Amino acid sequence: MMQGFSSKKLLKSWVMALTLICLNVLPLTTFAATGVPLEPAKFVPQQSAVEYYLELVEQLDVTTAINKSVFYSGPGNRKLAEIYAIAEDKTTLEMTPGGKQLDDQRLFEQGSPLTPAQATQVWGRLSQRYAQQAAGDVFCFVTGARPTGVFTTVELPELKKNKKVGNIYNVSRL
Amino acid sequence: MSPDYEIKIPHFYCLEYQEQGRVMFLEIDFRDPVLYLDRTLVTGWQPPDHDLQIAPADKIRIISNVYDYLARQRGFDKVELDLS
Repeated sequence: MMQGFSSKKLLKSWVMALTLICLNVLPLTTFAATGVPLEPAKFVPQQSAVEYYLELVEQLDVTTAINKSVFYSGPGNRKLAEIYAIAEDKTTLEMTPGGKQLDDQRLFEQGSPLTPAQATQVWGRLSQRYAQQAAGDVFCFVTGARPTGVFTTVELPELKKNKKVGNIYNVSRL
Repeated sequence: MSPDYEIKIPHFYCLEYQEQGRVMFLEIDFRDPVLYLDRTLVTGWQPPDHDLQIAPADKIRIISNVYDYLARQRGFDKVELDLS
C-alpha cells in the first residue's frame, strides 16, 4: 500500500516536471545538475551546443567547504595540487561533482559538439564559478603559471573580488 | 597516410599520446586560452615503459606531433610551439 502510494506520488511529480519543461518554466538542465541521467545531447547547429553547455555550467555543483578550495596552474602543478588536496582533505575543481560531471563530457576530445574555443569558454566559466564560491583560505599551486592562463586571467581576479576569501596561499612556495 | 601516433584528450587537464603501444600523458590545461607546447611537457612513458629514456630528438618529434594534432587537425587556434 505504502509502495503504491510512493509510486503514484513519484509519477505525479514527474508529470508535473515534464509539464513545467514543456511550458519552459523549468530548464531541462536542472535534471543534469541533480544527477538524473540525461539522454546524450544531440545538437544540429553549433550555437545550440554551446548555449546548452553554458546553461548547464551554471547549474553544476562546484561548491567546497570553507578552507577547502585548491587551485593550480602551470606545468607540474596539477599533480602536486591533487596530492595535496587528497592528503589535506581539500578539493580541486575536478574533484567537485560539477567539475567531474563536465570533465566526463570530454568537451575537448574529437567528436565533441563544441569547438575548442567554445569548450575553453565553458570551462572558463566553470573555473570562474569555482573561484566565486570559495570561502576562507584558499591554496594555490601556481609557480610558473603563465599570465595568459585561466588562473591568472579568471580565477585569481575572482578570488581577489570574493569577500568570503581570506588568505590566498601559494602553497608551492611554502 | 595515417599518422603513427594516436592522441586523445581524456580530461581538461591532460592529453594522452600513444605510439608503438606506449602511452604518455602530457600535462596541458585546456582551460587556458593559449596553449604553450615545449619539450618539457614530454616527461616519460607510463608503466610498463616508464624506464625507457626519451632522447631529446624524440621529445621534439612527440611535441611536434602534438602541435600538429592540436593546431592543424583539431583547430585549436591559439597554440604556441617552442622547440628550443
